[in-house]
Amino acid sequence: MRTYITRRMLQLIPLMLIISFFIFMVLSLTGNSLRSLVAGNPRITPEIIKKLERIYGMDKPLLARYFYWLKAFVMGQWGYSREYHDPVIQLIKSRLPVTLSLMGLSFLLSLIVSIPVGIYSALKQYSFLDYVATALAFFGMAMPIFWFGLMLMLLFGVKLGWLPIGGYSSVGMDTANFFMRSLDHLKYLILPAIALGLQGMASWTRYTRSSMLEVLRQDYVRTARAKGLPERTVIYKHALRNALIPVITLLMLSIPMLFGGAVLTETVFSMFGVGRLLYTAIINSDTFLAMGTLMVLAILVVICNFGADLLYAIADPRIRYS
Amino acid sequence: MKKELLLEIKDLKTYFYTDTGIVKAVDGINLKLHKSEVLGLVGESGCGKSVASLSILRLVDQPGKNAGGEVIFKGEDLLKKSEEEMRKIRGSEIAMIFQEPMTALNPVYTIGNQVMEAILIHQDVNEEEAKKKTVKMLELVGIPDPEKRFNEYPHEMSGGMRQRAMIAMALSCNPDLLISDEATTALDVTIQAQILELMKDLQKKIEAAILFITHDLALVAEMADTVAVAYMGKIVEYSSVKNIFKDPRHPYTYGLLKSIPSLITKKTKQPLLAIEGMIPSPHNMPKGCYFHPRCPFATDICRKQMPELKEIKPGHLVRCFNPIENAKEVSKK
Repeated sequence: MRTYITRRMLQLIPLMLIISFFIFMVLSLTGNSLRSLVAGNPRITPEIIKKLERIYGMDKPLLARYFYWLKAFVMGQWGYSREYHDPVIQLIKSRLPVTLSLMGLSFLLSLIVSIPVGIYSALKQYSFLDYVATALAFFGMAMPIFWFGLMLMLLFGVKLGWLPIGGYSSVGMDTANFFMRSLDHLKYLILPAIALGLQGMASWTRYTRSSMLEVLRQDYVRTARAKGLPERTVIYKHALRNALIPVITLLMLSIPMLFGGAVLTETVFSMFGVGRLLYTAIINSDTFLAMGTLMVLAILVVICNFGADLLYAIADPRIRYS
Repeated sequence: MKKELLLEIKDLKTYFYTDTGIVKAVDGINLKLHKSEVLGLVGESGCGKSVASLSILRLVDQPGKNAGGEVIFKGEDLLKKSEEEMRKIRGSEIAMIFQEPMTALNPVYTIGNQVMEAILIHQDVNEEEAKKKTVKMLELVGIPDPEKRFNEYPHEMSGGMRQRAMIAMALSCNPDLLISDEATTALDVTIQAQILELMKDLQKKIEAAILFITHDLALVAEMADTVAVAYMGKIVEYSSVKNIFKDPRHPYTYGLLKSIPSLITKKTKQPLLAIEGMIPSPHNMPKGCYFHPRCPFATDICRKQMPELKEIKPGHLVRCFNPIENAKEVSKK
C-alpha cells in the first residue's frame, strides 16, 4: 500500500508540469496582452511597448518565458491582476473558500442522493419507485446547469422567497462569529449546490443502480446467501463494496466536470468564487489571473484524482498489490 | 441398509417465468438422501441439476420460483419455512460448494474473513475463537500456512486453494448435508483428484451426507453410493452406483456411459457413441417422453405419454417404457 501511494504521488509531479506547460502555451496563443494596451491608449508609443516588453521578458523565446514563469510560480509570485489591481495569489486565496464550499456541498448532495437511490432502484428493480427514480435521473441528466439554476432562482428565490437568489453572504455578516457566518453562507449555497449537483445526482444514481444489479447476479453474492448471512449483510457487506468500485471511477471522472460546472454556477448565481474569477480573467484577457486560476483548478483536480485513486485502492485489494 | 432419512425431495418443481414462456427447469424431482450417504445427481448441462440444488436452499434467483412439491429435511418441509428460519439452516445445517472457485469468493474480502463469517453467524463464539476455528478449518482442508493464508485475498490463491477455502467455509459449521454443485469441474485433473479425495476424507470425518452434482459419471463412480440421472428436469433413473454402471436400464443413462472415452474403446477401435441430437429447447419440449427424439428405442407410446418412474427391481427406478434389459448385449449390436 505504501509503495502504491508513493508511486502515485511521484506521478503527480510530471503530470503537473505537463499541465502547466499546456496551460502556458494555450494562453500565450491569445497574443501579447501588452500590445493590446496600445489600442486603448494613444499616448503609449511602440517604443514604450518595446521597453515594457524588455522589462517583463516578453522579448525572450517562449520556452524560456515558460521556465521563468514556472520558477516564479513555485516561489509564490503569481503576478498582478490587471483587472482587480491585486496580487493574483491574494485574489485566489480569498475566492477559493466560496468555490470549495460550493463544490463540496454539491458533491456531498449528489452522493447522499444518488447512492441510496441507486441501491434502492437496484434492489427493487422495475418497481414504481424505480421507474420514478429513472425518470428523474433522465430529467437531471438532460437539464443544463444554467437553465435549471435560473428556474430554481425563479421558484425558490423570487416566487416563494425562501432562499436568496445570488451572492454568498448577507450584509453585516462580516462581524458575526464563524458558526453564524457559515450558516449564512449555507443559505446562499443551497440553490447553486443543487443546480451544480443535479448532473451528478442523476448519472451516479443510474451508475450505482446498474453496478449494483450487476453485482447482485455474481456468484459470491449467492455464496454469501448460501452461508446463511442476513440479507442486510449480503447487500451492504458483500454486494455494495463491489458495486461501488466502478462508481468511484465515475466520481473520479466527474470531478473536473464539477469544476467546469462551478464556473457556470458561480456566474449564474453571481457568487465570487474561483470559477467566476476565471471567467472574468478570460473575458478581460487578464493573463496572470487566468494563468493562476487555471493552475489552482488543475492542482485541485489532480489532488481529487489522487484522493480517488487512494479510495480505489482501499476499496479494491486487487489494485493495491498490482 | 436401514439408515435415518435426512432429506426427501417430493415432486419438487421449480419453474422460470420468463417473457417467452414458462421454463420447467425442475419438473417433479423425487430424491431420498440418508444420513452420511453420498447421492450423485448426474445430467447434461441444462438438465436442471443446479437449479434443483439451489431449490433445496431456496436460493433460486428471479424469475425462478418454486411451483410445488416438498423438500423435507429432518422431517420438516423447507419450502414452508420463513426466510429467517431458512437463513439459520443455510450454512449451518445445509452447506453448499459451487462450481467456480474464481467467482464464488468475494474478491474484496480476505479468505479468513469469508470463512469466519459463517462461523460467527451460526455459532455462539467471539471473534477470537472464530478466528482460531477458521485457521483450524483451513488447516483441515489442506491449505498450507493457514495463518498467513487467513489474511490473503482470493486473487492471491490458486483455483485449487480457493476451492479448498470454499470447502472450509462450507464445513466450518459441521453441516448435516453438503451440496456440491460441480465443485471440481473448473479445476484441472490433478487438483480435481485432490479435492475429491479431500471431500471423501472429510465426509467420513464429519459424517455429512453429500448431494454430489456433476455431469461426469466417472466422478460419480468415485464418490457416490447412489445415483440419480436427470434429464430435462426429471429423474430418469435412480439406483445404487453399482447398478447404474453394471446394469443401466434407461437409454439415456446407457448413452451417457457409452460416451465416456476409455482405453478399451481405443483398443478395439470402437467408435465413441455420442447421444444423437441435442437437448430440446426448454421453450419447446417434445410431447411424451422428453428423451424420445434422441432415443434409439423409442416406440409410439413414447411419443404420446410421459412414462412414470417405476421400480423395476428393488432399489432400481427407471422412467422408461422400454427399459434396456441387458446392457452388454445392446452394446454388441
